[in-house]
Amino acid sequence: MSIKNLRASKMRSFLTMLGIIIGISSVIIVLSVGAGAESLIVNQIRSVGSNLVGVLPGNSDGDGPPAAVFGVVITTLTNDDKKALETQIPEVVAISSYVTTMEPVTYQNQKVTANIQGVSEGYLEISDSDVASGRFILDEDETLLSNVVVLGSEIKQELFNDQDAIGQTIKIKKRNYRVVGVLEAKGVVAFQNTDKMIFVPVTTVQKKIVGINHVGFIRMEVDDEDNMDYVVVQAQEILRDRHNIDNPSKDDFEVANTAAALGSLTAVTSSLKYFLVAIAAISLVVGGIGIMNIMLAAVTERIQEVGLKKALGAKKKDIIWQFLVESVSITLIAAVIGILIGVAFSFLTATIVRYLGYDWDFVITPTSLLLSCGVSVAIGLIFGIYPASKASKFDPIVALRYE
Amino acid sequence: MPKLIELKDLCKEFNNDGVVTKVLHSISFNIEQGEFVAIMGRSGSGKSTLMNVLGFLDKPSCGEYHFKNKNIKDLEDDEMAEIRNSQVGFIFQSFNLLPRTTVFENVQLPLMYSTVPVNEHKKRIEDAIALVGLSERRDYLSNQLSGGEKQRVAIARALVNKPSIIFADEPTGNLDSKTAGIIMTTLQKLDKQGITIILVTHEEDTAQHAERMIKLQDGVVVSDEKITNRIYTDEGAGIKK
Repeated sequence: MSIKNLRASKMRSFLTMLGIIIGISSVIIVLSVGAGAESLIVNQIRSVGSNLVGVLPGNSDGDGPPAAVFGVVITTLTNDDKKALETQIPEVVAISSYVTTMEPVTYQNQKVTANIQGVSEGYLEISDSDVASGRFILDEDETLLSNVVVLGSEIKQELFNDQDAIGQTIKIKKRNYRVVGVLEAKGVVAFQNTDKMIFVPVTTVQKKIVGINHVGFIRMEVDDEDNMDYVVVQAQEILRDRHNIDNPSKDDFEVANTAAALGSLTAVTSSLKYFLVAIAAISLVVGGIGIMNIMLAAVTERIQEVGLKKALGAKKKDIIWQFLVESVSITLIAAVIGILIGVAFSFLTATIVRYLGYDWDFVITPTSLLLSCGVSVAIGLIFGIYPASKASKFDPIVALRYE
Repeated sequence: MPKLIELKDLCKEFNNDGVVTKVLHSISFNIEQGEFVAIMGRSGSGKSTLMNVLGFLDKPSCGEYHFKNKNIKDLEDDEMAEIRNSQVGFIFQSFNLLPRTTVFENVQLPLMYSTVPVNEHKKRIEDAIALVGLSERRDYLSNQLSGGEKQRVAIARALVNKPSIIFADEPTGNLDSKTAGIIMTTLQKLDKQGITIILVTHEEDTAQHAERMIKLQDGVVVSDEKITNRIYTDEGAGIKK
């Protein structure tokens, strides 16, 4: 009978449900996309490699990320710092400076704007990359500021198609560069597609392409996980000594291992997730008020029906029960629709992100589904009880005569 | 005949924001099982209030009301609801059927609040619908029925819980005379089966179908006598209005 009453006013029931539908689907989407994003970030950072220690220029205030993350240019870190770390810490098995820029690159008639990555010999080891043909950048290239490049697999295809690229010459900023190697395809790492990058000796990029003396950041690989903390401390001491800093709070650099970065990023995403869930919960409360509103209207509209039922022997609890079943039906149907929309949207997101080549988990936990249904039923009960008890108190004589 | 209803100095007052209106004054009479009683009176005479009290929709303000030898003064709301459900059938002037609901479901309504086992519902409902001659209308929606048919559905609904008493409040008030005749004949038929019927009306001719008439005026019983020239309307003949 309750379902029948809902059907009798389809449009109104639907509009009433809308608040709950939006609320529930938002919660599902936020939880699922949040979990997916978390998995993406974790996987991306893991794909950078393990046992890595990064050195970023600029100091972070407390627990936040260093200023360099926000695009602030800080010039305190140099390639000499990298050389010092390389020679003074024996636990470091590979090290590379990084300078990144975008420049138009031409080969014969082909012209593409490419991501130029200035790196050292250690990059290959740090990034777990492999050379498909030719060789990678060597320490001598860095010392001699050689005009050599190594191509990512995709950029190689763009410029040379299936033709052999080794030994060919490309132009960057009017200078000629010889292609000495091509890398194996690696995919997206830390949100960057390394297959589209052109690798150049870091010193060459500094002096001949960008015209700077500093580096973007330094990354090093440590021989053993147990030595990570030790290397971090060593690096800090070496850099403080070189930069003439005696107070750690005045550091103009930040040394961090990737595991710690992982932790802080995960913390950020999960707190963001709960914040968004809280906002979605507000829409559930608003939806609940809508339910109460509509139930109050329904109670008044059906005052005669209530009067009749009471005259025919319905007890207070029968009337309360009837209206509660009605409001809970509304919220439960809304929850099911909301879940379907939420799951569909989350699935779509996962599909699109995966299509773009990222590693994204499509996660719908049974807990979130049960929670959604539970919350909906609770909303139906909480916001339905007042209208229902109001209806149950109608005097049948008055209610029967009500026009 | 055993006494079904015993009223002793029953009165009813209404309190509207401190203004007390006495609608019924010291009413005393008995109704026996199986009687067909008409309560007559003009509007404002208190007949509807009396019906509400007799039908357990309202409580008396003073005096005593014994139903089947039980004093109803101390009953809670839910106990009153239970008596209404199991002992009483109501027929209203404006039919009061649920809209957009089938004849079957309308008749089912009292059963939903009763202790009758669910597996008996279908038979009970179909019997009640058959008794008022609407079997072929079983699955019609209430708004697809004529006035007379609606009132017959209401009668079936009143009967479905096998009540000991039926209250009919101006049951023919919204019907043409021919249809009214059918309704009154139906009530007389039910009376013959031993059901007590209390008919509340302001129409002398309708009241004449009963076997006893209690006249009410300004909340007082002014006469209470057996009807000598009782009307028996042949089905379809119509009654004077």
